Amino acid sequence: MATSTEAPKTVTLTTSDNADIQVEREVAERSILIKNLLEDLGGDSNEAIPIPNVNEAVMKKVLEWCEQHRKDPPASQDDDSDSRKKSTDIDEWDQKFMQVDQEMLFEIILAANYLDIKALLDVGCKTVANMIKGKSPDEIRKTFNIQNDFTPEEEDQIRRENEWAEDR
Amino acid sequence: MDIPSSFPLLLPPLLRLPIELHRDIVDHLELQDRVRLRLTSRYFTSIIKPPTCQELLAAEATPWAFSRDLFTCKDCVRFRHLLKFTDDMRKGKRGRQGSEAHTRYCVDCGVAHRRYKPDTEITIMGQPYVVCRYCKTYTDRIGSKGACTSCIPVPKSVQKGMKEPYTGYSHSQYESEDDWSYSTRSYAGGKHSEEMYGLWPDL
Repeated sequence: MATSTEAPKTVTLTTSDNADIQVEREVAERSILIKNLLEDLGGDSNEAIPIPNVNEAVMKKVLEWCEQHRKDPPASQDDDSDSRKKSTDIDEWDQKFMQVDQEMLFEIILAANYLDIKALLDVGCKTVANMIKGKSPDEIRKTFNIQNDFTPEEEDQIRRENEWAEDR
Repeated sequence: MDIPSSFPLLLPPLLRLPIELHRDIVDHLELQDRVRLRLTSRYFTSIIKPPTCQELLAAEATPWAFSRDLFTCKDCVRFRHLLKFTDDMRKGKRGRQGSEAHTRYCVDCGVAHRRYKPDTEITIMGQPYVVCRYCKTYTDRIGSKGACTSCIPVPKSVQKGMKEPYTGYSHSQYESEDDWSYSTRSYAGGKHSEEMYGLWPDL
């Protein structure tokens, strides 16, 4: 269909709620899942790629991130050092990007995991880690709506064992 | 067509993540935040391992532990406040990042594991304490003959400074549970403790 060789190649993604999203191939290939699928389909297929685990709203958000980071160098394999893991620094654009409600935040994380976009998954996990940082167990429960399901005896014991962590 | 079924939607968003993603998040947390997340629910207690002695010793050097005067006890494998350690446990090789730091234990563990001979004199923040040869607890209420004041009270003539009557077991429980009032009290009673100190029998 594409007659001009100058125009960037595009692909069509079909989301879980049956929306077709057209996107530049380079952008979509930030997802290793999509990249591998396209390679398997061989070259210039115009077939729409079904993404059954991600809905339109989340896919658009993910593609927005992919667009911003389309030129990023691929993450090196040996970049799994402890210092990188421990760091919760997030670049400014990503921080703004992640200012969404929790429903969307965790949908993005799930989508990044499914689509195999390691850098986005990393930003998502760091964002959640930053929401936990410096909070008391009770504040963490409130933030994430976690139910305290300990019996009073269990809670008493576990708190005594970890009394040092109470002081912030 | 939406894959998430209604069941996971009943859960709060954080808990809809699979366990491996919870682990990824935990990997980004410092020790103290990891422990606090662990304290929120049974699920997080089950997926987050309690800190190891090595992890605690490594974390001793962090500003967080430093500013809170926390040290690692190898026996109860947790951080405890410096008032829970005898002075020699926090100095030299057993000090923060010392080569023997992994052999440090708190007074409660020392007493529980019978590491002190009965009537041993120990020092916490420069204050003398005795591990009573009878009730086996540690206290700054030093009585006669290697015992606490409840087991063998000191003669009346030197008791002037003492106001409250002490009942051996319960008072040491109280002391080991409440750092602050206990440190304040032992500080205020410091003079009296030192007076006692001079009365130690030469054994």
